[in-house]
Amino acid sequence: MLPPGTIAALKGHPNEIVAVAIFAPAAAAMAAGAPAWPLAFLAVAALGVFHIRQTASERHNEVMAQLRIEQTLATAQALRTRHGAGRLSPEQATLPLAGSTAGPVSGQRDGRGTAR
Amino acid sequence: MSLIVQDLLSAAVIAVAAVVTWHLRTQAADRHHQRVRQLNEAADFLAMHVRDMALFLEHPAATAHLKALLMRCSAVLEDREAAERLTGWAASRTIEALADAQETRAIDEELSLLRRSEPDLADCFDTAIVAAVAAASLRWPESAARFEAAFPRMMATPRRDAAIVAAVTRLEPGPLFSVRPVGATAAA
Repeated sequence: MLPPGTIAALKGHPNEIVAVAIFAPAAAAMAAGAPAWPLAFLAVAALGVFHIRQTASERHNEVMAQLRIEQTLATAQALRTRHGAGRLSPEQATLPLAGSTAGPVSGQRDGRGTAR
Repeated sequence: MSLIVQDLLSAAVIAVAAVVTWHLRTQAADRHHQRVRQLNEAADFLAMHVRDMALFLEHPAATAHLKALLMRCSAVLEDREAAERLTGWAASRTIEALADAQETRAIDEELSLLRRSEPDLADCFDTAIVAAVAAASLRWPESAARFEAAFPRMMATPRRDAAIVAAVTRLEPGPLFSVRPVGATAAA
């Protein structure tokens, strides 16, 4: 049913495997005389579900990587704080704050260059 | 005859849907894989930066000035805009132009002295700076897009570490505290 070499070409390509796994049976069923439009609808719907699941999984991987970065940044910030980076000198501590709100309390900056 | 045409039409619709979906899915997956890879690399570089910064900061032979510069770079490079501007500067050779600046030469001299007395410690400084720049570049999509052009150019810059430090300190956001008359604050 599948063209020669298809299985070998699919190795390591999960998206393509799923596409073939969905559409090949649909095409086979059509060839056997099953109604075409419901089959087409089912195949496309199955691909849609697969797409949503894959997107969610990829998003999860991205969030986990972001989390790793945030954790390491927190370690870096703790290290800098321990060694006095951003700590106010006695003269600076008496200066009025630049903004009326969200002023730096410890002098430690966050990722956007603002006070946390 | 019309049944055959209908079947052919269905088959064509299925084939087109399969090709379009396959194409879109593959593109989306490639984009996500690339982004996740960049983020994981940024996390690895950041861990490297923290490790070497800790070694440098804990070492008694490191000068207070170099420690302060390293911590400033570490803090500034957490800023998205700073990372974007740094990669832009590197790609447009602005950092190369900084290699001959007076402040760069002063930092480089200090580093050379350290390299003579404590070569391992100077390597820690080097790794901490380069890893911080790499992590900052790969962390956000805009700077990551420039990474390929900017990073090799930065690495090939004469007095690399000193030039990067000089560039990064210029990227520092404004002072955390502004000097305003006390009366003005009281009135506000």
